[in-house]
Amino acid sequence: MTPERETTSAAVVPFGVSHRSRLGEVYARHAPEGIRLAYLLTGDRALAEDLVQEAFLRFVGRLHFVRNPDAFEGYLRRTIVNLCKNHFRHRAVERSYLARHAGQVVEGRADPDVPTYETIRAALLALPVRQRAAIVLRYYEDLPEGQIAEILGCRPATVRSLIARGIEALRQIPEVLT
Amino acid sequence: MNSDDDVRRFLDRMAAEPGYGSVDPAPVLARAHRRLARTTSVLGLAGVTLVAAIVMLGPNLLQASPAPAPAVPAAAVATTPQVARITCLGHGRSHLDSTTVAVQSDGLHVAIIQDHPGRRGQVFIRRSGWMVSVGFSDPDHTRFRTVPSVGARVHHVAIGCIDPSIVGSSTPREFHRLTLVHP
Repeated sequence: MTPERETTSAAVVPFGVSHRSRLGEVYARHAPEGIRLAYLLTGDRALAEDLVQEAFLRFVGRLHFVRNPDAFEGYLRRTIVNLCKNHFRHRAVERSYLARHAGQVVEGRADPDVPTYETIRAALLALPVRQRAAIVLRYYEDLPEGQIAEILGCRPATVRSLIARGIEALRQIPEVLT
Repeated sequence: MNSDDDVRRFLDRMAAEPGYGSVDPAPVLARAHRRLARTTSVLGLAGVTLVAAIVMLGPNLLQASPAPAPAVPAAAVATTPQVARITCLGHGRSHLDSTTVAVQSDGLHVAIIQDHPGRRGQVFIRRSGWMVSVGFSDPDHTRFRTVPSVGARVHHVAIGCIDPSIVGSSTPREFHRLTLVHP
């Protein structure tokens, strides 16, 4: 997680008082961060925004069942990951999506740094969604393995395996190794 | 990408790819409240429908549900409070006889109805481990027989048909188990 991102405690908003404005404040505070996470998982900004909005809608629908409003950040992160997994559940959707992104890699190689970046980007998006989510949650969100396991619904050992296989797959690309 | 820091740097760079302006929560909040209202109204409507259905149909369902009957063996073909009619399908050379059994205050009233004129068959009742021969079907008419009540209110009986022309341990028999209740 980048240092400039706000911590959970700073984002705590008491629910119940001036309900609507508080909800708006929570959304405005957390949405950009959620969109970045969703973008890393999908590589598609429009889709990322849709997923974050959907996650927020679900949160509002379950507001009465949320015992700890401080946990909103965790709830948002978990919902985004689950929504991404659902989105890529159908292999056909994922395949066509990856093919579309793979086609974008060839374009625009003027900058010497761009090929490597674009190649890594394409390689990341080509990973299975669980591996991608594990890598993003570990290296971008800086979450411990236990928390990642909770979000992905698996054991910590599985998380280690997912990360190791994902990183190994990224290293298979020649440009990445150089 | 050879170290964890490389991965972190790459992810931070990729996360910063799309330029994010300020997020306007108003449309999302409006959408959230619309969805909440829709969910609430659908659930409320379903609840009201369910309650109305229970109120309207509940008493009828309660009245229509039969009184719990005593346990009946699996082979039961008829269960009725007072009257049962069975048909012996017969085995081999045995024939078909219809038997109507009614429980009255003085015992079981059994009517052996001749379905196949010209042939004879025996009808018997097994009750409390004892087999009581009700009699033979008459070739010409229906025969009535009363088996005295032994004071029980509920009778678990097995009614069987047999062709008396076949004698021996392998004589085909057919039992119909049923439960009859005194009026």
